[in-house]
Amino acid sequence: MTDNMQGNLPTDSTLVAYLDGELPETERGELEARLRIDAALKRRLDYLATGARPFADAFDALVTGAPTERLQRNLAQARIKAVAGSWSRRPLATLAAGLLIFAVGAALGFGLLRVVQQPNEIAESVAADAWREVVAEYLTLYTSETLADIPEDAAQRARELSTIAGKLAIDISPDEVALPDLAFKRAQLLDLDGQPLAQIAYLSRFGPVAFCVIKDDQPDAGREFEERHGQRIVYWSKGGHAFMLIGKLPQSQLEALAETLDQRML
Amino acid sequence: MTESGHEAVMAGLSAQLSRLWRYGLVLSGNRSVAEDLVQATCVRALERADQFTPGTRLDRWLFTILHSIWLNEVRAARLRRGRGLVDPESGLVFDGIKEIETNILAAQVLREVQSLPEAQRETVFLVYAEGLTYREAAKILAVPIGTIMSRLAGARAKLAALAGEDVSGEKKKKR
Repeated sequence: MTDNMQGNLPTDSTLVAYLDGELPETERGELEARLRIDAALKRRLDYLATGARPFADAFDALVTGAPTERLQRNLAQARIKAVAGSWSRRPLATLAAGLLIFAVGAALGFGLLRVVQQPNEIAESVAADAWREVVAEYLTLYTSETLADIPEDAAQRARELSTIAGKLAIDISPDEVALPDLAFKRAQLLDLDGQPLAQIAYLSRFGPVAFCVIKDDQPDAGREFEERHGQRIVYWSKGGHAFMLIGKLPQSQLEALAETLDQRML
Repeated sequence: MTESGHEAVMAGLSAQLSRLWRYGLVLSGNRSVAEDLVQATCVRALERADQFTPGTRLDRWLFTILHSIWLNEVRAARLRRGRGLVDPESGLVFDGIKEIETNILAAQVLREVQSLPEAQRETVFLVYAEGLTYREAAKILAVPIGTIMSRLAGARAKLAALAGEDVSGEKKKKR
């Protein structure tokens, strides 16, 4: 910052630093002395001063347009992804047909649950138990904290459910998904290799619980129980949809809740 | 204690999102790219939270991360895909400007800033809008202070020229 003051004409950089109050004391004194006797330099300073704008105000206007709700939601997902990163040394589960790469948290929007697989095997694997494997694997990344910070917002939840209802062609309302002792936290539309997958997330005293729905076009099938990745699952098919309720609840409680949901759906 | 760095990031991150998004918008000129930048910044900040020194400015630390992601990853990827960057001279404006058209002065200032080359634009934003000192801006952008000075001088000269045009060209519109 000093060199250009010795005999040379001060540069625009020096003048702007002066305008910005960033010039050290000694240089400022020298420059001011020079400005008093050098009209051309003073003109240049005045000219550069017209390059100022109410920058802060203008940019404040911009920040009000930030998609805050989505940013907060993304942050919640980033927290999941950060947890997943710490798991990276753990070999990923080999899914049903040994053909899936499970990538948590594709950086874009909802693209959190993404499965890459060979196209000719999509239909069978998704319709079979692959989707439960993926969901169970995915849910192991959730902790209570994943859901704890989501604010209560009945209107928002209703909107989320209506999006899901539209995508999956299914009647699903806040009343229908309300479960005793479980706090309904969020309804999300995920993507399982091009197929919409609804995930309705709850918080229980045993941690996260998810009610998931996907289209399957299979014959109706009664409720079954299984365990995957330390998660308990009750699953069934009805009216062209596959359902599952998954979490670490005691089996009896999980089965009772699943029965409630089964009776309410369709 | 490393844990408190982690806690500071966990606790402070959510309050910074809008400002990070704005920085992302200044860099990319695109709302959804800005969102992706914020997302990537959050992921990296969470991964590296232990490296944050509690008691220092979290916003500065996050800006540094966002800037480096933009520089090293997003911009590189866009260039690789052959799409090029938003040409600052092409008259393309921030997506965000549309939303604030009611604030005519703000929109005009943003348009002018958008017309600056990326390096100048970013420096103007950090120093004049975010209120960083030259030294802080130099640290975030990983350049010498002299570079900050010359970028601001270039920006000021260009904006001064625009102000001159405005006076001669749009006199009638003004009160």
